[in-house]
Amino acid sequence: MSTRYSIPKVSDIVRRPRLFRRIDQDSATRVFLILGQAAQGKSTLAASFLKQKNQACIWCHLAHEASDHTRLFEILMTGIQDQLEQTGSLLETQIPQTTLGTREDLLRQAETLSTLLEKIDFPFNIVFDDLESLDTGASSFILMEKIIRENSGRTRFFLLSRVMPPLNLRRLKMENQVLVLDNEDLAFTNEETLNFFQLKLNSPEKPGDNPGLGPLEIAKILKVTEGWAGGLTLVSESFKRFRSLEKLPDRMSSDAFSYFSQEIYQAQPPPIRNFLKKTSIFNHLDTRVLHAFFEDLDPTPILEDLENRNLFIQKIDSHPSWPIYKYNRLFRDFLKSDLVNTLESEKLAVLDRKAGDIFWEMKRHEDAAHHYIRAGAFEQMARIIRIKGTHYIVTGQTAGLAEWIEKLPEEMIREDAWLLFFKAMTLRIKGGKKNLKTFSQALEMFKNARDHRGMILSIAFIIEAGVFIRQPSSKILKWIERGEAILRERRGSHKYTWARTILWQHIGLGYIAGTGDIPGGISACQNAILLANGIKNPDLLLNASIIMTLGLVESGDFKRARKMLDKIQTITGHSPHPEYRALKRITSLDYALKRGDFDQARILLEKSEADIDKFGLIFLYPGFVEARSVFFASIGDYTQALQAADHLSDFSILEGNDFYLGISHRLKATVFLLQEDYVGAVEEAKQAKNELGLSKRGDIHYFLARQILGVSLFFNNDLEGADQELGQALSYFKKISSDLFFCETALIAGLTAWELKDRSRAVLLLNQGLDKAESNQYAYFPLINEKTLARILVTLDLAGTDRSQFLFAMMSKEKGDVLREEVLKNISAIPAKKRAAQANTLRPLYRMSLPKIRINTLGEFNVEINAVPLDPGVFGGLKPKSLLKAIILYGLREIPREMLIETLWPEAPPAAGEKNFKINLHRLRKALEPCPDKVFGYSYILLKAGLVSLDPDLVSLDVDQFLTLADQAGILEEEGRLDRAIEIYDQAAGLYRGDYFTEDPYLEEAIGPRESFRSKLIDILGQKARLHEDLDQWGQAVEAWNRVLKIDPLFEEGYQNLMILHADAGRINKAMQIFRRGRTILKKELDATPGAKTLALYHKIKDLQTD
Amino acid sequence: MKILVIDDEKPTLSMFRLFLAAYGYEVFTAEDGEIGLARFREIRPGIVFTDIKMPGIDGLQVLGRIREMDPHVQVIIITGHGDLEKAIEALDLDASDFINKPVERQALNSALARAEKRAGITESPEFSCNFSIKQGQAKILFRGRLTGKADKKITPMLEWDEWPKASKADFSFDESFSVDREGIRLLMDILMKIKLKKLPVMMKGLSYNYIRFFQMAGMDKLAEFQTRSEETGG
Repeated sequence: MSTRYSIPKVSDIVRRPRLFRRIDQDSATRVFLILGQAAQGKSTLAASFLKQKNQACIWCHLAHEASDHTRLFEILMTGIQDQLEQTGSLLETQIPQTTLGTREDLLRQAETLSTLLEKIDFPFNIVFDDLESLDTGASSFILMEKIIRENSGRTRFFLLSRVMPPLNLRRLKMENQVLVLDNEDLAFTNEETLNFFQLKLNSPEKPGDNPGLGPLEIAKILKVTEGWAGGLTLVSESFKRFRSLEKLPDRMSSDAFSYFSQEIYQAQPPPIRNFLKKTSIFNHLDTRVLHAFFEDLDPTPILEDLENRNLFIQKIDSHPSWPIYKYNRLFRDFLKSDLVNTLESEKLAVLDRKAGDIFWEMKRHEDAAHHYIRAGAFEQMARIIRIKGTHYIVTGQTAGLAEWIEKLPEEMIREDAWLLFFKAMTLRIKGGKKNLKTFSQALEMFKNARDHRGMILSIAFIIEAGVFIRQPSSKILKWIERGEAILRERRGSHKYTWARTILWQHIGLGYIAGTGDIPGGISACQNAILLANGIKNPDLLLNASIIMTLGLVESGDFKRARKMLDKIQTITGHSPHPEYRALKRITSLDYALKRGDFDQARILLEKSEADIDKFGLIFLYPGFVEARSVFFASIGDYTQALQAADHLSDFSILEGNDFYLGISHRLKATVFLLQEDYVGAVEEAKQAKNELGLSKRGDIHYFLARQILGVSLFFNNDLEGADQELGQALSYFKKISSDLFFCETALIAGLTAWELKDRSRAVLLLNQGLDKAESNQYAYFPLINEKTLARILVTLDLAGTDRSQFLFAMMSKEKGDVLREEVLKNISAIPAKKRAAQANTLRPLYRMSLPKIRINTLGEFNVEINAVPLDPGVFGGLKPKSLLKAIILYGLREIPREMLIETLWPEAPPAAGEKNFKINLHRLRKALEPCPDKVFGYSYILLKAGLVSLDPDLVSLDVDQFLTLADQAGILEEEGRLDRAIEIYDQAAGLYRGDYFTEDPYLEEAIGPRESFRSKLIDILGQKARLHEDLDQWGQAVEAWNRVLKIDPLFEEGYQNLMILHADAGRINKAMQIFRRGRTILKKELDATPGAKTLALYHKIKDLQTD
Repeated sequence: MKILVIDDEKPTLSMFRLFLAAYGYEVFTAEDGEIGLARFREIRPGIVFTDIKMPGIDGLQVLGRIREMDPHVQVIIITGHGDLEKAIEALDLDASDFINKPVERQALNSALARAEKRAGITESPEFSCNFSIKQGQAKILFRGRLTGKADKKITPMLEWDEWPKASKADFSFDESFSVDREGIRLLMDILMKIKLKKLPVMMKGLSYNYIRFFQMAGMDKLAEFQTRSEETGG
């Protein structure tokens, strides 16, 4: 693991169990804020605690440079990568690059880190040390805040700072997830001070030797230092020298620190002092580097001695040969100030330059750059940037690069093409128009220097910048052509593949998002993908694939887009990538809308909007607005659908191209079509066709416009025009295998052909459309409403083709009314003479369209039409209702009328009985079907050859359902699906709202069935109770048996089971009580005693009581 | 540069945010005037776009209050298409520029370019009107804010005795030029008087939005307009 991230070594420390306990006291705590003045022991505490825990940890020593969130992100990513490598974890830690978004890099970084931390499945700690080094308004704090807040995994954060960092942790504090240890907490107690001095002053050679510090001296030290760890160290050093506390000031302060440091420092021999002050130029004291720096001095023993004395130094890497140390900041500042005071600035620069050269030799470019900057060695800096710039760009680590370039003189940058290029790259996208200028300047310089790599890269990023700042397509095309020319020149060459891939990728972006030439863009992306595969660069492969998918989405080719996204998923693995996610959501949204899954579509819309907004994904915005309009149109919110279409038109105007204007017209045409404003729809569709015909953004949009135009013309009765448009669209959709569009177009083309009297073509087209829809299992057509589906159904029916099952299932909202209207419309259009014959053909459809009747006989008798109870008043008296009851009681089908007359009017003479029957049958029919159609007549109650029947397809009984459910539950029970069986038993029992024909207790025909249904209910409840018992559901079992006994208080098995249940639960008295209740009821109702089984059970339970 | 966009229509805000972020600006948005003013105080942007019609505090009130806080910030008013009167009201309140809805790309680019150039100017120069004649062309340069008070500075130009030597007139407007209702009246007056002299007038240096506005006000019947070279490319 890199030295930079190890837990610093702590030696000779006083153990502080009280603080460890506080850190450990609540496992829910995720943030440990350790605040204290310099040298208060913050790092020592965190390091000793984490060492003891032996958990994975990355220790971030923060310097001012880390104020930039990108720098902090790089530190964290490198640290996590190192840690994962060490633990052998295989998590993807790729840094996502921007392809379609703008400048929201902080959010991307936060998301990347959070996702990564979420996936770490072992205890993990991150320490941010020296937080006070960052600027107060540093963007790094926002990044920190986000990863801390969004972390719900096993990561714990230790924040070490001299001052309260500007982090908003309010919510976490409220949730008790933050522990704050402040200066007072860290201050040494009396006991700890005593331990400290015992540890420091006791000679290892003479353990137990009393240094002469008694309780009074300790109290004095504690008073003066106020428990400050740094102060204690200084006092101990002083005491070692003078064996006295006389020199102790009244109070310790930073001045006192300098004073004491001076004392310690002055006590060193001159070569050591010289060594110490010069080392203050280094951030970390790497003994390998110091060895080269101080040619005649071995740094290791000097630093080891300081470390052993715990003199403001920490070992941050315990490499056996080349350990690395870090000074405490106060001490380093002290040494640095001595260095500055005793050495002229030129000589200081010489030191830094020497350090820079050593790092350069060691290929530690970042460290070299740090010292070269301080030495003002700009040529050396520029050399590093030229060599390492591309690496930093490729890996996305641009923050450091930007910092270096910023330090260089402006003039130097202006005259160096690569410095100019890298400067612009550090401001990629966010540089706006200025970047375009800088890249163009670099390009001209590269051209003069015949630097092909520079030219290729400059053109690539000029195109990108041009696209982002919405340069006119003519300009973008010129740059594309220049790029293509240079790529042509280099055809066959294997040099600069990375640069060439970037250029192809950006040419792709230029075509797709800049000039609107989607085929050109897709082809360029394919070249980029080919090259990226060749050099095995997943980042380039991913970006080119993302841009290509954008092209496919823009062209409306969602099928290929989805395939492309699947491929991308294999490239990205689990790494978060907002562009991928947003594109995936837009394609899924299209899919959900086509399936009619509007709940899912709404969720996807909301998520897409959030991502586009959050990451500035401007190129995906129009696709999103289009989907929004389609969504609202589909759910019938036409106002919002039109608003979205208008907004797309606004976008088109701001964007400066007419493509989205065409889409906007198409969307409006769709809304008007669904609103049945066919004139408006034709008008908009024509405009859409014109605008989209001129666009190069793929043919799909153009043919969709023609489809809408064709459909609108059909409904506007321009059949010839419709036939032409639909025919063209149909051929195109067939060619590209776009099944849904093909289905819709074929169906309307079929209706058009029918109206044009081309019946055979009509049937062929309608069947082709429906076959395709059936094979794809479509449940919804976005363009075809219920009415049109009904029209297709009736048309096919008239042509002798029955597709009613599939089509009727597709219809959802008030489908019966719509179908009936269509059937009747067709019937009325047929000449009266032929009407009866046609009525026979259409009768099945007519019956299908009628509302369903349900008759409830268990409990209060009632009739429901389409689940709405019928007002009893509609029967116009008791007799029609009695007639219905009689039909039910006699078995519903083919009941001789005489039987009904005999039952209802036993006393009436035959003629009067016949008359009564006719009158009451009419009333009953009228009650159930107030407005029967003249041609089809009454449908629910049929009278044929003197036999009365209820239509079984239209009328159902609750008792039938009751029995079916009971059977179903029994089968489930046999299959071992006990939970489901219980659910079905519950449903069956729920239907039993009372006894069969409960209002007519003396109706002779009802008595037998009544007993049978009641007995069935007891069976159902008993069976349910037994299943609860099997599943150890005691409460439900008791409840079910109680319900059985409520229905039949003489059901002895019920008492037995309740007694067992209570006895098993240890409720012996309750079990006895139940026995006594049963015994009383049996005696009272039947004058009988409980059976032998019940008595045996009683005695058994009673014995339990005795035991 | 920080830009604040105030508009009560959420989709318009989204669109502005995406476009301006892609242009490289740091974009902040507010859904009404009240929030907009609070955000202004908080972030102190260099440029503000505000819709004119908003519930509560409207765009003109926003403009007025921002002017009280910072007289030099660039405030661009977004007006409804063809809403001349509102645009003039905005000019009276010293709006930096105005763009019509639906916003055209050239109009947006022009407003941004002008605002960025003017952002560096901390003091508006006093109105001046310099005139000279060169090879038969009368050249008049307008600088600063043209208001009704500029009347006395305009009169000498109209009474200039070199007019008979001129065969055409070039009116040039520099970056610092702005105008209010009375200023427009004065400008129209000048143009009508020069028309009477039967001299063709070419107006140069005006931003795209000012040209659109002057055309709306009917000045295109009195003069021709030349678009700025840097704005023709968008």
